[in-house]
Amino acid sequence: MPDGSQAPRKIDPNLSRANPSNPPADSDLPTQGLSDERLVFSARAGDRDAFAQLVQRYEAQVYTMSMRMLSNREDARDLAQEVFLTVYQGLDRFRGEAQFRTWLYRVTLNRCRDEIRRRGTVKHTRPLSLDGLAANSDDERGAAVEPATREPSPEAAARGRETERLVNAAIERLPDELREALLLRDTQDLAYDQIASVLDLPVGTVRSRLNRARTRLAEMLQPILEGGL
Amino acid sequence: MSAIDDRLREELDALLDGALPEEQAAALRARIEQDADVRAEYERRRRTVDLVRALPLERPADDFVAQTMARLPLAAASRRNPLIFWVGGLAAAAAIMLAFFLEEDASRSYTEATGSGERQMDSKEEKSLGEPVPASVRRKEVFDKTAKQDAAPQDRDLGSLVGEKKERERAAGGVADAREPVEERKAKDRAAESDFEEAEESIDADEEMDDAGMGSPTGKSAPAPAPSRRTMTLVQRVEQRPTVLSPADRGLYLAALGRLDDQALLTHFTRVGAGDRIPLDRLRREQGALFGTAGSTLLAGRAAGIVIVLTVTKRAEAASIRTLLARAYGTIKPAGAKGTRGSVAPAAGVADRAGKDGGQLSLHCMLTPVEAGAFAAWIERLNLRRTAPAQTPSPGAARIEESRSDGAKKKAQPIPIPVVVRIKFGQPKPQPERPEGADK
Repeated sequence: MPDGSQAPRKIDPNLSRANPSNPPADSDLPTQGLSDERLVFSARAGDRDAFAQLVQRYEAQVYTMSMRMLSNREDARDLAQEVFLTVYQGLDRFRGEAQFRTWLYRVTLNRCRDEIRRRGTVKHTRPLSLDGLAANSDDERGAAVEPATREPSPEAAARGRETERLVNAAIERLPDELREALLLRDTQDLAYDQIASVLDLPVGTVRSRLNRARTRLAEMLQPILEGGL
Repeated sequence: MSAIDDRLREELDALLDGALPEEQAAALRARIEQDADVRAEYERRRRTVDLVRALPLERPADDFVAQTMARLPLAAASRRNPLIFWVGGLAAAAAIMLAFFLEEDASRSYTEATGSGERQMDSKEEKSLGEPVPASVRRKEVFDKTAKQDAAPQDRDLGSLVGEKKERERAAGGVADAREPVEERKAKDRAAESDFEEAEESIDADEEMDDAGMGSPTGKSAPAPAPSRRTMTLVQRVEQRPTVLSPADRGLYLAALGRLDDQALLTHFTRVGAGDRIPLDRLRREQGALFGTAGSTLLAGRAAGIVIVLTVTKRAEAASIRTLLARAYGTIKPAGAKGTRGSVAPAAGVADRAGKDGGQLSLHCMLTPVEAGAFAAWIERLNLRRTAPAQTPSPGAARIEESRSDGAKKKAQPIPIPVVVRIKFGQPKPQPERPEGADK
């Protein structure tokens, strides 16, 4: 994890109801309070600071999405930059009919697909091995799932990192179309209709893909889940 | 016990995601409480979702934003709408053809009216037509003609236009160019070519002086000199041929002017407020000779303006350039001032409120993309010249030097100034005429 990675978010089932245009509260620029649309408008008029604010607002989301699609930090970083360049070049074509965020994710996923297609396949850098975790105690697993609730012991922290690695590995093994839906929902907090907009799919298909993705993921993470039940 | 199918799983997911209608959610919650299998499936999915949602949002390196922004200027160039080149080119071509047709038609009408066929004008007629009309007068006619075309129904016939033009010409003493003897016109062209070559030589000489540190357009101690005779010759040459100057020619002309005399270049730009939409009549009144071409006139009827944003990397640089621009523009409005649109690009002066490591200037003026490119080259030249080792650094560069905390005596490096050109299309809304100097 990079040093700048933020703490895991508390899980809120109502996150999907939140206004997705609200920026993350991690910005300290003067334009922090401006909406995405306002910043886009200013950027279209040539205000580079406004676009810089957009980049800062969404760098983590785009980078995380890219990294989980490509499984490579360097590639993810390059791709994230290209995404923002693409967005900048396409600002004139952004009519505001869709939210900036959904448009940004669409660009990101399109670039990811291009990259995956170019590679032929995604390189799985992290082998999936759940054997070691199956025998762990409940406390340690609980710390792995909710590490922000209390200060974990070094062992629990290490176990949490291992759990995180395994979850990431399981996500990587999902088919691309299922992984896209899962990441947009569970790591980017997009609502169903927004996911449908990003993927250009009916909402019903989104629900179906989410179901399949979570079912497969649950099967892969069965040792962890069984230990916690 | 109940069979758990995909439909039920999707409903469980929707419940987890808060995407289930309340009534349906309540029913499903009740079922979860009652049915152990459904409850087990729900818990299994909930924990799976929790594991995924607990993954941290990762961040790229700290310099990601800076590096991304550093790549933008290259991208900005491709943001320029290529349509403008086609629209501008077509408009210019149409205007030139129209002007040529009208002049030819007027000439034909004149000869037909006299019933003498093709003939040379005698000295009496030539005298009655008067001296060659200054370019500004002819330009005004082009503007008037365009304005009437804009306002008139589209089915207006060209004959009536020619008639009106003829009447105006007679009232104004006539237009000499259309009826100028061919030899005389060729002689003028040759003279103009000669002037142009001399002006080019003058450009080289001026550059040599500048390179030797004998003159700096940005230096405080070196105020902008008055336009030289050579410069004015070049200006007049362009003004004398307003309808045949292509946008590319004007761009070259601007570049040449920029090399000759910065003040002369700047005084040719129309001063408008940030985000202003310029009514056509105001444009006509305020635009200098440089923009008196038919092409730009026609284009101006549709283009509301072009915004040039100069982004600089140092506040001191921004202040330095702002001082330079203010010399020509008089007053530069801050963003949000009366008559500006706050949501449009920040006006010049925003650099004062920017951070110490960044600043931005916006220059709003009517430019074609070619002219904007020439202007960008001019700005870049100023910047490079300001940091040339043979010259005294500008106040901005000096401050950069002083601000180095490590005390290392590093030479100030040229700071590239990317230029973003934004073109706004749309018919300007009719608005009441503002008195002269209202922007001040």
